[in-house]
Amino acid sequence: MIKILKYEIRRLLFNKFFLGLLVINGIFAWYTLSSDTVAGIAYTAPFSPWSFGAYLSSVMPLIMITVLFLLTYFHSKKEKQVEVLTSATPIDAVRYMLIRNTAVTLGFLFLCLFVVGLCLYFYVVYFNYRNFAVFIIPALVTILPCYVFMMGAGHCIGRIHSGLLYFLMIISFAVSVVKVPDAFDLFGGSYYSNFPLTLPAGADGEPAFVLSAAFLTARGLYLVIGIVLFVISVRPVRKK
Amino acid sequence: MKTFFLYRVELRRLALSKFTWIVTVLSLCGPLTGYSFLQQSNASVMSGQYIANPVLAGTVIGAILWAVLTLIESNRVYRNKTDILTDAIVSPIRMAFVRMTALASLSAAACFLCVLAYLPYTIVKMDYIFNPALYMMSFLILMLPTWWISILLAAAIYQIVQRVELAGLLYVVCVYFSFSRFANSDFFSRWINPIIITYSDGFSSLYYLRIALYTRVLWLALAGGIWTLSLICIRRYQKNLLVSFWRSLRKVYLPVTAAALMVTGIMMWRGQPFVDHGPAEFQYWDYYNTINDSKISAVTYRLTAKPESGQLHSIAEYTSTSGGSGIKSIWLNPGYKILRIMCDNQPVSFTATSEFQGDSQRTDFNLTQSGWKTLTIEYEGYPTMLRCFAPYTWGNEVTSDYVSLNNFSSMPSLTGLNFPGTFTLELTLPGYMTPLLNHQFIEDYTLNTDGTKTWTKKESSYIIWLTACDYNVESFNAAGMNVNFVYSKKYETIMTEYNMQEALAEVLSYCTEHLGRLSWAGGSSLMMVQRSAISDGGNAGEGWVEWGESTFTAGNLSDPLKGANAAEVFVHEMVHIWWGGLGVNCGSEWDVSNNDPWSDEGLTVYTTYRLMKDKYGEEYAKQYYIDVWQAAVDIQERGFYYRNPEYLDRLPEQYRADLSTMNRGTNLYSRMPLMILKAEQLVGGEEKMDEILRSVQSRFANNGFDKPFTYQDFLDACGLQEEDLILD
Repeated sequence: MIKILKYEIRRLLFNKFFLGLLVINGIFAWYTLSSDTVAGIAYTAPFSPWSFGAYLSSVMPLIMITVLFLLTYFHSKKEKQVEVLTSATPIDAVRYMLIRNTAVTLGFLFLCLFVVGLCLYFYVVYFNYRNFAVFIIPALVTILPCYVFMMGAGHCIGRIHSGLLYFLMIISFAVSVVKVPDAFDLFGGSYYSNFPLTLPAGADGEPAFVLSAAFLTARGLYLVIGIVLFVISVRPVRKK
Repeated sequence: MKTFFLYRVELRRLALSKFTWIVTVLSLCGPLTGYSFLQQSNASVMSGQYIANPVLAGTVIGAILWAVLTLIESNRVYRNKTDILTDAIVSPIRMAFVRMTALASLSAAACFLCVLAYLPYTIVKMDYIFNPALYMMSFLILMLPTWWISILLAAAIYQIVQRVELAGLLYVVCVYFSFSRFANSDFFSRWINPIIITYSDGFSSLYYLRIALYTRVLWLALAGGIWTLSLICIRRYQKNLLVSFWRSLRKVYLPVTAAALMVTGIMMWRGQPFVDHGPAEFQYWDYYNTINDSKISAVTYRLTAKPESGQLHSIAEYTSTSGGSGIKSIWLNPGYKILRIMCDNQPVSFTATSEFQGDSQRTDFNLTQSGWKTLTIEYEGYPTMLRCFAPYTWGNEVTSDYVSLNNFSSMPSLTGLNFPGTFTLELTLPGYMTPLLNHQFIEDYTLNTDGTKTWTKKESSYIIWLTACDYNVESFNAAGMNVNFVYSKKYETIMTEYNMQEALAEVLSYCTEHLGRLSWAGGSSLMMVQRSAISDGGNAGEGWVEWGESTFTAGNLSDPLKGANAAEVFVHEMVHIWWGGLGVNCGSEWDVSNNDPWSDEGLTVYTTYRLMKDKYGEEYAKQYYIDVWQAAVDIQERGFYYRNPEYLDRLPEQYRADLSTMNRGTNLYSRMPLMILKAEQLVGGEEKMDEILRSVQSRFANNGFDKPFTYQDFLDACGLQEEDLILD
């Protein structure tokens, strides 16, 4: 299993496309930090959990496009032709699929750590801010539902037609631009920008980081839908 | 011949393709989005609403659609795995060229269909304002070249990476870049969404079209260069990128053409004539305190507008009784090229420096002998806009419909010379234009043989504002004042329809009644001038008021309950006659380093609010004035950097400047009006406040800049202490 995982990691992550997308992600993340985050979101500090959440929601569409790009490897025509052979091997199809998804998840985690690392570096250098523990909740709430939902949707749609994954990339980009009710914003950008304005300022002038029930419910919903879609899509193909 | 034959075949094939038709139909629908949600230009002027916005929306949507078609068509032979066969028959480079020309031809046809499709609707909606030339130029300058640029870039990306999905992704990155904040700060980067902040109905839109044409040619050269370079990358003989590149490199004309085109684009970018090449931040003038060792007895500026090229040719002549020697400096708009400097008919050497202040650049010249009599400076060129104003594209213009030149865009300033205090202006303009110098008419002119007129005027101070247009002038009397209302002739119908004369008279009467009669009323005349939407907003000074075009558009004037909008800007600027300029001067507004909320603006905004309350009622005034001020102050106080100014130093300079401008705006236009409103409540109500303000007018009007009406004077007049007006 480890051997297959290593092979998948090498195939998916150690190539010029992933490296190129990593560089694009890095440039975009730094651009977002130095142009938007530095000003602070919703009049909060640039290093507030709100600003951090907004930063993550800005970089998340590009990260998700990268992940969807990795999924195209699984659903391409060539891959489907090879599937006939791999399905004939003794390895369990579901386990094989999970291993491959682990490789994608590792790639995703690497990207997330990279952009979060850039942000923390930015906070230390520009604001001498080191209390990173406050960022754990916004990170989890922002990243996890997005990833699970997009993985589920990506696999589901990729199984129908690999070309639809590119359509999903456009949708992912559009979702970050088009206005939806704040709580239902998949990436959370409009929620982090607007919700703090409705909260009273604390003693330090900053609104406390509290998430509304509607937002948490929506995040949970995305998570559940993502898991359901994922389970549906990784079910084994019947051997012909 | 073979290429032409292939072109015909490819054109026919594409023209019969179902997908081409879908793209054409969708491209035709693109401009529809510009009428509503995809508005990129000022929709308050009719040319913006019915020409600029639909064309810009159609430009972006069409560009993306044609790029998609290009990617699909470029990938077709590879998708079908017929490239081995087709490459054996026709060179893939030739085929790429043929495909490109066929796609360009079809997109041109689609653009022409767009022109025809929207023409009847635009004519009907715009009525007498419709300008066929502007309509056609918008499509031909904005839409068609952008579609071509998009096709070239999409094809180039595909030819380099030869993977359709990756090419699509990279194309999306390019589109994103064009809409990013970076591209907003440097509009030459906007390859898919050319900048048209506004068109003008009554003046000229050529200013923006010139910028758009320049950027389109620039990007056509760049995209053409990248596309030509990409031809070398086309995979040949089933080889990879590097081997194919090496083989195609032997066609020397390809890299040479690519390099030539790209160098042309880069040179055009670097040498662009629209934005000055000075520092990004505004540099304040500080050169006034120089030694004046040459006594000048007369100054003459001979300005000739060249609307066909957008240039100004000018000769500044200085006559001296005792001209001193040494290094002198000229400060002039950096867009102008100094042609020669002559001292007593002898040429003088000069050097342009890299020092910029305001909208001027310093040029040094050396006068070797003292006692000279005449110094002439001849310059010509295209006035540039300040780099810090580039995102708003505020600048000066010389076009066939409008001339607008301010300060150093019209005349040079010389340091080291002692001026006589007056100058003579000789201004040559097309015969149909009427000039205004510092918002006053020029009466004398001579008709030249070529149909132009040379206007002459002796004037004190400097050329601060110089405009010319085919103006209409309405003279009337209001509240005991002689008023000249000057606006573009194209607005005659709107001004009559909405009875603007009466509306203006109403404001003048209100202010006279509540604030007192201006000391100069009845003697001097008040000039009210409309200016182009390109430099929108408003302004007021000694004996004049001016407004941007948006103030008087039918859309704004027909909806008086829209709130404190552009239609009320004219009220605000008229109130400035009482607060600021000739009226009571409160000092600190122009000192931008000062964050003090006290200025003319506070009292002007407060008086405007009172007038609107009088006219539309308390609820309206609360909703559109008091609540808006309070919201702005609340937001300011929530701001992290407002609460923690110690962090400001860590911000990039541009952000610091933006924050400072924002805070200053809130202080002037929201905080101070709220403080005055509080003062009104503390002194005993509106009538009492009117009484105080009338007494202030009688005591402080006409004091000018030397003896301004200070905040302490205001507190004393109200009998209040500073702490009384601190907002809760």
